[in-house]
Amino acid sequence: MKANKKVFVVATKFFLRQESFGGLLFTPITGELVQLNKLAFYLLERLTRYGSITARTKDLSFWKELQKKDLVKEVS
Amino acid sequence: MIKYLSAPIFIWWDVTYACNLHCRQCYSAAGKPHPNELTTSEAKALIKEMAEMKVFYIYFLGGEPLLRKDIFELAEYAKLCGISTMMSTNGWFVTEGIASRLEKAGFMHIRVSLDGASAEMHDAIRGAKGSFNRAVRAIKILKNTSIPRVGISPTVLADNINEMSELIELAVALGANEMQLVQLCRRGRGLKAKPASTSQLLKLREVFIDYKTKLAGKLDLTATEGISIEDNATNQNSSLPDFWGCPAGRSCLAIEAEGTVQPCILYRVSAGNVREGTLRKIWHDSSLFKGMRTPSKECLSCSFSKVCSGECPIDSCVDHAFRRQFAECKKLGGVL
Repeated sequence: MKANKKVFVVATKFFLRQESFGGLLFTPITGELVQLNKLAFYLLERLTRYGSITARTKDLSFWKELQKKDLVKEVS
Repeated sequence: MIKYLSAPIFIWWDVTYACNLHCRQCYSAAGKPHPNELTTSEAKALIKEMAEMKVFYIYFLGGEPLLRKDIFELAEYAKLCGISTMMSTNGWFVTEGIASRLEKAGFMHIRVSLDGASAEMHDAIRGAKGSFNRAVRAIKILKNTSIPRVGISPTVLADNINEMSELIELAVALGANEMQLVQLCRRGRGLKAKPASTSQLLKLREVFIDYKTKLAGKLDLTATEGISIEDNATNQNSSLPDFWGCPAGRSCLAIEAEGTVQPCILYRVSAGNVREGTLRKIWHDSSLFKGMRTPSKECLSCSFSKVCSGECPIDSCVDHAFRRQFAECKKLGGVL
C-alpha cells in the first residue's frame, strides 16, 4: 500500500542564515525571526533549495508548526 | 564571552543628518547633513558587503532619510542584493508619489514618528507647525500601499506621556500595524529634553501592559526596555532564546552617516569606520564589541542582565534614572 506522503512548499518568502548553533530564519513581511537548531536549518535549507520537501513522519510536527506560522503549506 | 552572531541581524543606518524638523529629543541633533556623508557608491559597496555577510535587513534612520537624494536607489540596491529594508521618517515628505516609490523600492516596514495625539503637542515637540498633520497624512497614505508594515513611534517625554493612551488609540484608528513606545535617550538634543518622571513611567508601564493585552492581534505594541522590563527580564517573548538582552554588538550594530560603526545608534563610541576597514572585520575583531560580549560575572548573575546584557554603559537600554530606582543594577548603584 502506498504511503500517504506529506509534501510541503514555501508559503511566505523567508531568508535563512547558517550559524554555529544551526541558523536563523527571517520573514520580511512580518519581521519575525526564529532561531533554528541544526536539524531545522537543514530541513529548511533543503526546502528552499528544492522548492518542496516530502516530510518524514518524525519531522511532521516540525512542518505542521511552520504551517501554523504560515511559512510553509502542505500541497498533498 | 556571551554568544554573538556571525553577522548582525540588522543594521541601524543613519544615512544622513539632514532634517527639516528640529525635534527636541533628537539623539542625532539632526539638521544639517554631515559634510562627509558616505557617497552613493560607498553606500552601495557597504550594502553589498552587508549582503555578503547575510545581514537580514537595514533600518534607514537619520536625520530624515527621505532628504537623502539617493535613498530610493540605495533601497532598490539592497532589494537587488536580497536585503530587506525599513525606514523611520517624520512623514513630512510622504506624498502619494513618494509612498509609491517606497513601495516599489521594496520597503517592508515604514515607521512614522508621532510624538503626540494632538497637533498642539506633536508640533511643539517637533518644532514645526503642521508636522502632526503631515505625519498623520503619511500614515494614511502609506496604509494605502502594499508596504507590509506601517508603524508609529513616539518618544516618551514628560510633556507627552499623558497622551500615550490616546496615541495608542489613534494608532488603532489609523490602522497602524505596530507601535513602539521609545524612552528618551539623553543624546544630542535629547540631553536638554525633559524626561518622564519615574512615577509617570510606572503608570505608563501599566497602560502599556493593559493595551498590549487588549490589542493583541490588532496592533503589535512594543516598548523600550524600561517600559517593558518584565517581558525582557523573563525573556518570554524572545524568538532568540540564546541571544537575550540588549542586541548591540551581539546581533546588530549601527552605522553613522560618515561610516563610523557603533554598537547602536545611541552608544556613540567608534568600533571602526567602513572607509578604513571591512564591516566584517569590525564586527568580529573590534575590541569595543569584544568587550560588550564579555560582561562581568557580577552582571551575568543579575536577573536584569536579560535586559541590558550586562555591558551596555548607556541609558538607552534601561534609562539610568529608571533603572537605578527600580532595577537592581549593582554596577550602576541600583537601590532596590
